[in-house]
Amino acid sequence: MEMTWRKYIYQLLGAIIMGIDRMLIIARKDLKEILSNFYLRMSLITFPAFITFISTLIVLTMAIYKKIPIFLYTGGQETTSNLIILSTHMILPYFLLSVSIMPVVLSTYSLIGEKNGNTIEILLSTPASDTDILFGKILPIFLLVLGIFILSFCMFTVFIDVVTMRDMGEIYLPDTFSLVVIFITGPLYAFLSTVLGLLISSRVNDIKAAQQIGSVVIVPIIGLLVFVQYSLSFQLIMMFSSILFVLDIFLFYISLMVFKREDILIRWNK
Amino acid sequence: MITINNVSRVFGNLLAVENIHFSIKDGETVVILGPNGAGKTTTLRLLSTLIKPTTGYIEYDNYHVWDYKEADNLVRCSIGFMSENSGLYEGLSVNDNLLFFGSLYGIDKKYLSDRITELSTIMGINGVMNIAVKKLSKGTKQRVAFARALLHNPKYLLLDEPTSGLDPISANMVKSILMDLRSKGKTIIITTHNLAEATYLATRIILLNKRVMADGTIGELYKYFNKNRMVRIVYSGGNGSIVTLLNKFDFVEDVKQVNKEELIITVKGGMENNWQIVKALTDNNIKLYLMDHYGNDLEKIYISAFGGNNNGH
Repeated sequence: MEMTWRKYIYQLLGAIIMGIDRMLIIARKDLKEILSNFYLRMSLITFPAFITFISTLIVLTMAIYKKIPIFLYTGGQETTSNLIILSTHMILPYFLLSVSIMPVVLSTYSLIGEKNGNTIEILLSTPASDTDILFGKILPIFLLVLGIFILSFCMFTVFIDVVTMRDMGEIYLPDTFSLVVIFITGPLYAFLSTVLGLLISSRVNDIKAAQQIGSVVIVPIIGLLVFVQYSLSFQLIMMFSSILFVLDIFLFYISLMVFKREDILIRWNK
Repeated sequence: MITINNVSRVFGNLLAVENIHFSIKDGETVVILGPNGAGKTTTLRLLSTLIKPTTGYIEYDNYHVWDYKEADNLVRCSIGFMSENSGLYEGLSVNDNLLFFGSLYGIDKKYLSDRITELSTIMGINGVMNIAVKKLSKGTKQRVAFARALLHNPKYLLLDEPTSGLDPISANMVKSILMDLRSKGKTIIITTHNLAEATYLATRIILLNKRVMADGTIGELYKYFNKNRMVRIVYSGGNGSIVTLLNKFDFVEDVKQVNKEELIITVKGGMENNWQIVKALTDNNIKLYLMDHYGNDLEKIYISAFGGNNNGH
């Protein structure tokens, strides 16, 4: 009896290790494919670089020329340092645009690319399970986008700190608000968009259609983001992150339920 | 051994295959023939565990497919599947493609590297190993796809129209690879529209049109559909007595002298009578240089089975 249990546990462990191994193999292959595509490579570089550049420019313009939106007035205390902090916090959530749009683009390319390239049938005929394939697709996109997102923020931090050090009298970025946005809200957003993109791609065969559906679903979340950004409150960004967390779990559960090789193949129907 | 037991598959309102029932012994090369929409690809997808039967079951050796995950994995590891398209990642090199698929089958790194070298030599793709797949011709892609399907040394090979869209030279190369695999005892299941290819490769033919219409060797199918077949022989000697000699057989319908030492014989039934022709010739000191099928005899069987019954899907 004891041996049977031990055998069962060994088998289970073996299956888990094999599953992780296959997941990493798929992830490595996907990463290689994404990076070998010139257009994807360019969009991975230019989009965050553009957001970083524009954000830095806006913060500096607002701080230097003391032109800020009416909602940011702080009761007559518009000192340069206050303005820098306010404008930085206002800009930060826009960084989340890169983690909401880029994963949808990459995940639709990843799965619909398999369908268009007729590799999906062969991939599904291998011993890789549905879960191995799903995780293998999520992992490279999530890590890639998150890496670029954090890198963009680091560049932004350095730019702002260098330029504002004289006015601020200290290095003030990263502060708590920005760390929450970058290390909690950002990853949650990236995961949500990646899973959503894969979920849509498993049901749709056209990259453009999938990206359009993805955008439609992402827009309300961006609306919520704008609301949070206007409030500039730490509590609200945490509440927003909690909502994202719940959405992440819900979507991930749904994707585990519907990401089935048979459904993918039948909807592909070639 | 593969057993397909009364398998049906429905997609929405569309019945793709209905109560198909056959078994395939180890070492057989079975060609599934049928018109468009006959359910050939569905049958292959059912066999490759890509889709579940709506009713019925499939058994590989002692494993019931779809019974539990581990069995499916064991079955998948014993199958080499090749679709009509090469199914290779166009942006990756040939070597990267082979490494990726080999790793998914859990092949040990050292063994995989040796296996890739071995297969690349067999398939004649050594020179393109570091080239991106998108830069290769369709014929070369198909050879790479063959190498991919054979990486894990599968017991069963499932091939969906392997020569479709290939030029005659590439198609010939694929056929010779298949003949080689057949001689090595692999169990091969092929779907095709190409009747000449089916005649050349098959040890058994299944005629499918949603249901199994007929199943057997070419000879058995001739018998089943009561068709005559034509045999061409090239010989020397016999002083003109050969026509009289052959006409004595009940199974010989007609003998035509097409050249000085070349005959076209119309024969009833299967190939089991061929040996009687050979024996009659050798007994009469006639040297037989060549004996083969004349024309595409399988076409007659195909038309008998499916004539006017194309699903048009």
